[in-house]
Amino acid sequence: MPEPEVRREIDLDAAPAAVWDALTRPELLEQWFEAEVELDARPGGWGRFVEADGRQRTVRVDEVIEERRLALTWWADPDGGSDVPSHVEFVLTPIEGGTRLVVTEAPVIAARASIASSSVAWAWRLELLVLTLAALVFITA
Amino acid sequence: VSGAADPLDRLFTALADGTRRSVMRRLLDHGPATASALSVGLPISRQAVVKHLHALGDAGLVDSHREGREVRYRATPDPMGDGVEWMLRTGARWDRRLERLRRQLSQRTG
Repeated sequence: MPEPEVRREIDLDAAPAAVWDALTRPELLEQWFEAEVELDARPGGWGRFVEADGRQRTVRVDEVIEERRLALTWWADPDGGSDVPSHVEFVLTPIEGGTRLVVTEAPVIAARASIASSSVAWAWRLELLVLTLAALVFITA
Repeated sequence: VSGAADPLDRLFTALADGTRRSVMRRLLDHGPATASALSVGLPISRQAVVKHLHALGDAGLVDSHREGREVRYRATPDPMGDGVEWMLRTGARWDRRLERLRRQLSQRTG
């Protein structure tokens, strides 16, 4: 039985610097995400993605290693449907003539599998609470 | 665990633990079993197995019935469909996004 994780790998005909720009600059993200994008791509930065169908996500930037790795947590607005909060990670590797990009998305709880089982639910609720409070601060700021 | 609001949250919470996935897999592969039978071959006590079975039960993945002095547990995997659906939906979104990214980057460089 697999971990609930989605993983995609793609080889791109562009240097890591160009791929990195496409992952972190809102005006470039908007094109391939087909969404309105606000993003402060620094550790602890916040963002917001509004897709064409109205689905909205709040984004927290967890880790930034320039041209190598970008880790985010994102979650849908309360009225945004049944999507659970998830961790999204982009890993860039230089290859001959371009860049290999690996994307993984996993529900927040699955990424917390190392926590002792008895504390998982509380860790999960705590995380949700922290995210919700942070989102409120972000939205009202 | 039972307090988690969303069925998908409960499902992923239940399946986040490797031992619970092992228990679930044994019930799926070998049919209904008691906690004692399940604890054979697992490096944990019967009591710990019971706890995991309750967590799986909260997510609707296991039900139980009493047979004499024993309780037998049975896999009820329907909720796993929701998780599979999440994975398919999420994967399809990334397929579409990454195809657009590939085209966007080849336009920029070429």
